[in-house]
Amino acid sequence: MGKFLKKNWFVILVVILFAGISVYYIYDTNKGKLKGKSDNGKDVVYEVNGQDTLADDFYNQLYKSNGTTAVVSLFKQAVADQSVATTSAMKDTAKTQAESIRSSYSTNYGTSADTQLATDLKSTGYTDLEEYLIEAQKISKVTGDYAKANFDDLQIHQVSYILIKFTDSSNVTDTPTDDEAARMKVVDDALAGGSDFATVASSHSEDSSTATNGGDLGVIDKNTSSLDANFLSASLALKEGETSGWVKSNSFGYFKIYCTASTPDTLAANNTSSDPYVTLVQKYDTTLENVAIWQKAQSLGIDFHGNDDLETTIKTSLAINDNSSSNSSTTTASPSASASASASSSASTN
Amino acid sequence: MKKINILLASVLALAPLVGCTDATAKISDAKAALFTIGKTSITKGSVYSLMTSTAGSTTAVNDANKTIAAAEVEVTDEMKTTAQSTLNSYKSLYGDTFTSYLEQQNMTEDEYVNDYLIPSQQAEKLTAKYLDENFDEVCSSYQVVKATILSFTSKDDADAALAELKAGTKTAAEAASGHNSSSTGTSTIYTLESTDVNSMVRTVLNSASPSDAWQLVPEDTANSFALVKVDDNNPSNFKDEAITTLSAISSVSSAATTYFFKKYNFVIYDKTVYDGVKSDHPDNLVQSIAN
Repeated sequence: MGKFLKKNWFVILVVILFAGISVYYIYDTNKGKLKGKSDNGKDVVYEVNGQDTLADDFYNQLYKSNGTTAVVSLFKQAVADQSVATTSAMKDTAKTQAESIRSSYSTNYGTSADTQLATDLKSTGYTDLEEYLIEAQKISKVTGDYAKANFDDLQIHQVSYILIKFTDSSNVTDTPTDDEAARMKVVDDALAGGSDFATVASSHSEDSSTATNGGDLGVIDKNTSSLDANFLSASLALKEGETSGWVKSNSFGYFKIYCTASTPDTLAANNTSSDPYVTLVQKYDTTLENVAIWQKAQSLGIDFHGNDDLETTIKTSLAINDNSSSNSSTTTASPSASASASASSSASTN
Repeated sequence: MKKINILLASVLALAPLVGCTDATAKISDAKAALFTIGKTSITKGSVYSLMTSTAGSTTAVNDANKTIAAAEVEVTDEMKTTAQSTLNSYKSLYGDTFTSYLEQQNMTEDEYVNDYLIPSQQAEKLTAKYLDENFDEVCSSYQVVKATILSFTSKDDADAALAELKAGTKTAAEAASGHNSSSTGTSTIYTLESTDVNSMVRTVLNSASPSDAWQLVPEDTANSFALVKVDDNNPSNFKDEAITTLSAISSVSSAATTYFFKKYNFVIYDKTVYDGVKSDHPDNLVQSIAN
C-alpha cells in the first residue's frame, strides 16, 4: 500500500485536488439555484400544507382559465411567424414603440409602471414587450395583405367629412333651419368655388377632432359597426374623389362626406408614413385581423389532430363562422355612433 | 496511460455537474402536439410554458391561499348564504355578460360559488384570524389606542372647550360643536398608520392613560390646536374594534399573508412561478432560494 502511494503520489494528489474542486463546484453551482421536486416521477410545481401540486395538474388548472388566451396567442404567432419574416426594421420599430410605451406607463403609473406594464402584457399572452410589438407588426402585415387582397369585397374606403352642427340639438327639425342652411351654404359655396375638401373642412367643419386634419375620418369598410348605418352606406357608395350631398345625423347635425380613397394604390399613396390599414384594423373593423389570421392559417394548413373541441374553441375565440369565414361578416351598424367617429347619420342626401 | 485514465475519469466526473440550473417543473406529455399550422406544431409544453409565464404565479398563490383559508376558516351557513346572494346579484346585475364570463372560465354556477365566492370570504377572514393570534404583538407595533381628539383653529376656542371638559359641564361632542370645531367628539381607535394624528398628538396618545385629564396640544399647522383624551390604552378591551381597524391597514394584511404562507410552508419548485411570485406577490414568497 505504502509502495503504491509512494509510486502514485502525484496522481493521488491530483485526484484529491479534483475531489475537493468537485465538492466546491457542486456546492457553488447549486448555491442560489431553485431546487426542484418530483413525486412518483412527476414534477412538482409547488407545495402548501404538505400537499404537492404536480405540473400535470397545474396545467389543467391553468388551462381552465388561461388556456384559450394561450392557444389563440400561439395560434396567431405561428401564423404570423410563418408568414412574415422578422426584419431589422421591425426590431427598430418595436424598440422605439417599447420606449414610448414604457415612458407613457412611467408617466401614468409612476413607481408601479413596470408592474402594471408586466400585468397588461401578460394579459395578451406575452412577457417580453418588444417580442409582442414585433408579433403585432407581423399580424398587422398579414391583416393588411388580406385587406388589400379583398379590398373591393370589403368595400374599403378612406373618407373625410365636414360637420355642420344643429343650432339647437334639443330641437332638431326635419329640414335645416335658416341658420344651419346658411352655414351649409358657406361650405357648398367654398367647394363650388374650387377649394379642396380638406381646406374647407379645416376652416368650416364644426367637428374640432377631425377639422384639424382636413376632416379625415380614416379607413372604414363594410364591417365598420361603430358608425351609423346610413352614414356608412353613404360613405361606401362614394367613389374616389366624389363628395356626397348633406347627410343628416339626428345626433350631431349635417355631414358632407368626401371619399379620399377607394382603391389600394390611392390608399397607400394617402398613407405613406404609416400602415394604411392600421386604423381600419384597430378602430373600425375589429373582426378583420381574426379573419385574416384564420384565412392565412388555412392556406398554411391547419391540423387539430382530431381535437374538435380545440378547433371550436379557437374558432369561437376568433369569431370565425364556418359559413362566413372568409370575409363576409355582416354590417351591424350601431344606432349610437361613437362620438370620436362623429358620424352617426340618417342618410338624406340633397 | 493508467494515470491519464484516472485523470480523465476525474474530469469526466465533473461533466454532469456543468449547467446546474434552477428547477423547471415539466408536464408529462409536453411534446404532444395540440395543433399544427404549416410546419409549426404547438405542443402542450409550449402552451404550458406560456400559461406558466403569464398566469402561473397568480394561479399558484390563489390556489395556496384557498388551501390555507380552507384549513384556517370553517365554511359557515352564513358564508354559503352570502355567496349565493352574491351570485344572484351578479346574475341580475350583469345578465348574459356574467353567463358568458362563466362560460369563458369553463365554470358552472356551483363551481363559482364553491371555488371563488366562498373561498374569498374565507380569505377575508384570514387577516382577522392572524390578528387574533398575534393581537398583543401587532397592537404594540402599531401603538393601538382609543382616544377622543378635538381639533380647533383658535387657541381661545380650544381653551374654552378645555375648561368646559375639565369642569365636566359638557360632553366632548358638545364642547366641540360649541366652539367652532368640526370634530365629532367620538372615541376613535388610533394607530401608527392614522393619517390625522401629528407627532405631538401621537406623543400624548403614547404616554397618556385613561386616568389623565384632557390635554391641550398645539398641532403642526399654525393656529391649530387639539384637545386629546386617551379613553383606553388596553386594546384587549376593544379587541373586535381594534381587529377591524387593523385589518384595513395594508401592511397588516401583508404581514398576515406572509404569516400564513410561512405557517403552511408554501414552497415553489419552478423558477418561472418563483420569479412571478417574487415580482407580483412578494408577500407570498416565504422561501429562500438558497434553501
